[in-house]
Amino acid sequence: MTSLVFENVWGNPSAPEVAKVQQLWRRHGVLKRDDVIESRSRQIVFVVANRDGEVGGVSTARPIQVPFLNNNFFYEFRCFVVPSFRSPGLDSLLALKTKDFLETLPESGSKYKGIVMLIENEVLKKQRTKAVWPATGMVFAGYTSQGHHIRIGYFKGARI
Amino acid sequence: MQPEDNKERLGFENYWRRDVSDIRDQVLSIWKDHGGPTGNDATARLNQIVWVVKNSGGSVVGLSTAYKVYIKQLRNHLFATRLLLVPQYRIPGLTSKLFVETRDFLESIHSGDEQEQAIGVITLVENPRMKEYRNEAVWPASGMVYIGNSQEGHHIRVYYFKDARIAP
Repeated sequence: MTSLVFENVWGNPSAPEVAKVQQLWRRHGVLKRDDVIESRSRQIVFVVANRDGEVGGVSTARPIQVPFLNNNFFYEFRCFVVPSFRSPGLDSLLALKTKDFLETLPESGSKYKGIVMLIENEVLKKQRTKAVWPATGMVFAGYTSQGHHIRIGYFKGARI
Repeated sequence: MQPEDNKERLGFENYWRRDVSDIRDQVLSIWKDHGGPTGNDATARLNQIVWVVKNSGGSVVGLSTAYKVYIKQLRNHLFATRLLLVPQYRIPGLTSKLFVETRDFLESIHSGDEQEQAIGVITLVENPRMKEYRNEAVWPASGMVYIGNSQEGHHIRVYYFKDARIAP
């Protein structure tokens, strides 16, 4: 496996990696609108790059209030890894690192209870059906009205 | 003998799919006195008993029940569990122990079901005090995870069996 670097750019929108992520999103058609790219850029947590500095993955976190979880606040986790960077376990590692980092933020556990992710990818929905994902501990909590899977990972000591 | 006395030994006896005639009257009496089911509901629930907790005198002081149910939110079958301990035996840790014993027993038998195999255990927390004070997102002793509220505002908690898989 190629050696990868996980760069934390949370709270640092002027980091050089952010511009590379924006290009990545545009190139792969993940995000198209400039305003969406701009706002999502402020939610970047980790950028994954190879030793040559080529960016191939990113995780983001957005504070959200979740009505069905007693209106508690969570971070909505998203990630994207380009096909050439995809390798077994990389998405889980990215999720785990992101959750572990978010857990260290001052209001985590008190205001923010954990991370929530929506599984929209049809392949993932068919292949990653374990009720609890072993690598990350993300627990299945139900389906959205669109049939996407909802998974939750609570921070240590979180109370609802 | 008071249950707080460490000398009292409480025993757990498994009644799943077993004849309950020896405890029937005691269980019905406990349910009647402590807000449990009555009439036909009580008779039906006798068939759902998993564990019975008996004190050192052999009297029933608590029990757990379970039945398989399809949970729309999760699109799968799970065992819905209920616990009841008579008030003087609501000792710290005993509820958790009864739950864990119930959970582990159901996990040990679930793979034997050929159809509608349950993927875990689900419980509805209706008691207002429990909702207020046992509000850890994940209950430490049992691993029950909070996944939302019922329409009535009760907390839904779930524990998935090892290697359980959901519908895609």
